[in-house]
Amino acid sequence: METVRVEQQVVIFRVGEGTFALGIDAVREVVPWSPPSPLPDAPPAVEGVLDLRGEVFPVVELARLLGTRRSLPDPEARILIVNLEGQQAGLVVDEVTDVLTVTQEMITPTSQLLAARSASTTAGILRLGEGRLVVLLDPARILAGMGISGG
Amino acid sequence: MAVQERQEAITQLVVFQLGPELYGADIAVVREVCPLQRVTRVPRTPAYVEGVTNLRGRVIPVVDLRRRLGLPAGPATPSTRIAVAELDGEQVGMIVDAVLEVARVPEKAIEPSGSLVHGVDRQYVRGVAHVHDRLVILLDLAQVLRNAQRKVV
Repeated sequence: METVRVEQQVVIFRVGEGTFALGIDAVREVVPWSPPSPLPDAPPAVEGVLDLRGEVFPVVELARLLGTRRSLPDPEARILIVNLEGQQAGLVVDEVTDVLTVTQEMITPTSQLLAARSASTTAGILRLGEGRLVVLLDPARILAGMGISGG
Repeated sequence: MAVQERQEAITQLVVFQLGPELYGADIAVVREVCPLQRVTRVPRTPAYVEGVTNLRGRVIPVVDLRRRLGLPAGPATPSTRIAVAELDGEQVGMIVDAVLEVARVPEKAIEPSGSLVHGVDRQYVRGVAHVHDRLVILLDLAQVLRNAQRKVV
């Protein structure tokens, strides 16, 4: 389990039809899409690499990891730069819509959801206003899914 | 004495429809029935998991019962409902085509099903009963919903 905090900030973004969230601790910055450079011998999920002010990150189509499709053309997309224990990567998303402060009681961990427990990239479900639900992603599992967090 | 016997022998079933067939579930397991409402998809879940929904502030997973039972998919209609089952304090919504009634069925009238009931895996079926001259397939929801969780990695 993660450490329990009363409040945390999350970045809300859209990929295809779905709305997702990542804890802001894991998100370093958001940049406009630019074409990743091909990377020989990259894991299949990795599109290529992005050179950002001299730092080089692997870039992944998050949509592919989530089993969905992006809806905007590449030039309108955004890349979330995630940082997890020194491991950095870019995740391509359609758009970033909000940064919100949420409380722990707004989050239902997937471990409490019979039949949805196997959702391997999901940490929990975030309950926003008006009955709206957002899938809170687990950054560690996303990086593992990219095949780049060699442990 | 006679009254007591009678109480023990009656099962109350929530009767619902999936395609052309009627199915029943023990009312003790079905907590409530609500209209189909917005369901949010969760990535990387099995195909029969529709997603999650917000039931008066409580987040519950929702499964497509047709898919779960291996039945052909069907469209949502105005009669589509979410039947909410509760197992060990955990709630799961099940999408069904319609909820028809709560029927009282004598336990004695529940017969073992044949080897295969209309394409539904035998492990999910407790038996069959006749309600108003129609065949109702009694589902073992604990099997249907718990295995749903165990089967996937």
